[in-house]
Amino acid sequence: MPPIIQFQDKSHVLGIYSSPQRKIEEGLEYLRIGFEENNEAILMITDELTKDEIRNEIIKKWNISRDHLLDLEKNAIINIKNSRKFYLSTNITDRDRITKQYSDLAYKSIKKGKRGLRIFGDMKVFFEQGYGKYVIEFEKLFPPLNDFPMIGICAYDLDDFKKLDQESRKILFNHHNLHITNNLYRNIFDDSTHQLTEHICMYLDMESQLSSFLPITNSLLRYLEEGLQQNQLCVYLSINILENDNIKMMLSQVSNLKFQQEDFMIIENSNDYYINAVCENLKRFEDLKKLIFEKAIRYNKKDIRIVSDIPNFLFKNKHFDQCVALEEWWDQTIEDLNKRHGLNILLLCLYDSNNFHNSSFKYHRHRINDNHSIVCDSDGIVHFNFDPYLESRKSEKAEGGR
Amino acid sequence: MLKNFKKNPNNKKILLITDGIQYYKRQLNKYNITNYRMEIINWKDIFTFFATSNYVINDTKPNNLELIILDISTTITIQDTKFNKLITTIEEIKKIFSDKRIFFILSSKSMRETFLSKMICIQDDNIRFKPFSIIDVIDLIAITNQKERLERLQLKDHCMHTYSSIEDKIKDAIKFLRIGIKNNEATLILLDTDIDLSVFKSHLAVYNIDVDNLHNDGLLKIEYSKDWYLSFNQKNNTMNQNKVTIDNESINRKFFNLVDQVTKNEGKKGLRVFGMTDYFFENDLVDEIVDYDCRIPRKYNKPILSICVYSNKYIKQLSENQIRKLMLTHKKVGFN
Repeated sequence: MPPIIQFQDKSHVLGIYSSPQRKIEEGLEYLRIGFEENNEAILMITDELTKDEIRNEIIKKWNISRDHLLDLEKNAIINIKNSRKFYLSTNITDRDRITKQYSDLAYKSIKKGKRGLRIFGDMKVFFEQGYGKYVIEFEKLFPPLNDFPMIGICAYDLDDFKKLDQESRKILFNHHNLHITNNLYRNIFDDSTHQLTEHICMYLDMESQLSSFLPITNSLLRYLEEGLQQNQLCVYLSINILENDNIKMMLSQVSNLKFQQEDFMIIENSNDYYINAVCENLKRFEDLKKLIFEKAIRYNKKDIRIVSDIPNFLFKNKHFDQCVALEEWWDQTIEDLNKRHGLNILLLCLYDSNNFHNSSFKYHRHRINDNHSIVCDSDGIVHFNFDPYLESRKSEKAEGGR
Repeated sequence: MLKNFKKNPNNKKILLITDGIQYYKRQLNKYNITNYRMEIINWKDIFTFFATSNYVINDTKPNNLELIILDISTTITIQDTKFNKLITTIEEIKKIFSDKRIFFILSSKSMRETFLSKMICIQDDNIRFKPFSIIDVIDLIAITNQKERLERLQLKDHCMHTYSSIEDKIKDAIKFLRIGIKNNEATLILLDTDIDLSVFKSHLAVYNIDVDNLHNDGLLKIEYSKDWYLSFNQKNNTMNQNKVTIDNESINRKFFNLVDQVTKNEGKKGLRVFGMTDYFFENDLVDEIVDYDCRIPRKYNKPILSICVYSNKYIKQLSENQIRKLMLTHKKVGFN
């Protein structure tokens, strides 16, 4: 079922689109479903097309005559608005005025025998008019669920969405109860944008992001903390743990969280894992798999979050084949634990983005990307452009597996 | 944890010789390397240390010494008179520890060139640069224990290696063949046209490899790549009268027939192929060879081990997409 017809009443949806054309096409389809199939009044707010152009599209695709459309507009069943006038008529967004417009149209539609109002709101005007930052304040004013019979999509162009910082994007995700990212925007720190089982490759500038005081970056610490808060089994396997005091330091960092000690596994002797991996002996990892499995069963954990930087050091020291072999082993292990035991593994492999200056390292990067279901940056934002062929390769793999 | 190492005499030992004892103690003592202990000594004390710890007497040489790391001072230069003294000392150490792997910590790439050109260090892998960290120590332990690159390849692997010179290709082809002989696996070497067969045979002779004997024993077959991959008509392609394409199916058939022959009729464990590809780049068959190579699976379902041999100068001419495909189609990839 396409996502746009899965909405419930009062959905407040975040939509991200690759192009203005796609945005308008999907917006009109979203509104058509409301109008034709759900007995809803509709409101289109955009500057991408003129009102007449929107009307022409509706006449062409919705099987409505021009006269009928004018009649529907007169009765406020079909409403087409210019976004600049609708959102920014007084050069500043007036939340009360906008809310009143929404509620007036929604209640009017009910009086006319409709179930409520369906809105497609194009947010581009905020960015065009230099209100990119203000759009967050505007969105924050609206709760994820509306009080009156109204559903809607706040529609963002990908290029505008990318301009927002991570915190702003997080606010947007939090203030909408459904997200249509069209696979254009995913963030590993936002659980709603990825699967429960993923093999994630994160490229980060280790030199600048690892402080001398902490054996882990703040974002990764947060990633593990989120796992602990969600009662997941969290595993940290890092070369940085070799330093004698680092385990204590790691534990002290997360000690403010209320979690059971058995929920957090910090793997000692990480050098042994590295040395054996270089020698193409993955027995240590097999033992680790067994350990994780036993712990998950014993403490009734279905979801497991693992962070490891061993592959990075294999890569950095030019053990490319061993690095790939280890990543392939993880891939099989994730699948095995999932299919045979129903365990969901989120494995995050860290790679230093400084590794890729030399051409042979760049070439081997294709092999790394190929072994991961997601490639993201240190902010957790999934970047398809790290390897434009990644997705097609995944499809090929999936088809090959059938 | 170093304290714990000292308690356990079974821990393997790493010997670090340096002028910066205090620095390395501060850097390394805070780490815990399972099963290893590090002994750090000063360059000026080295021979006294060897004498007192019986290192110089072969039969009492402790067998738990795993590797030696020589930290070359940042202040030393080739023009320095101390440099010659250093070389002499290193040669002495190499003699004493002829069976141990010796690594060097250098301060610059120019120093690396000097060490390699003067044969103070033979392998590039044995050199690390400052700052030297605990990760380097762990990596040195790992590479001391790992098998040599060509030894790691196994039957059924579809591999790719790139080379910068003909000499390096020939060197690896011979190494590859010798491993095959040791494993009772037949080897097929497909040469580039610029390698003369008699010259190649003379290289083999240096290693006492008798081509005729090996051929009779079914252990070696040498051909030119173009003869193996292209049919007669294709080779004589003129003015586009015959479009040259590599016939994937017929080549695969040739490989599979040969592997059946060597395994079923000649009692060999499998077939090893070292296939050079320069001819295709030199004769406008780049897309064809890349396409052919990318149709081969990463893992064979027959006992074949193949290395597709590319020259770095030609790899650089490929599109990003072609490189990506080559990287993904090979199980093991080495850039030399």
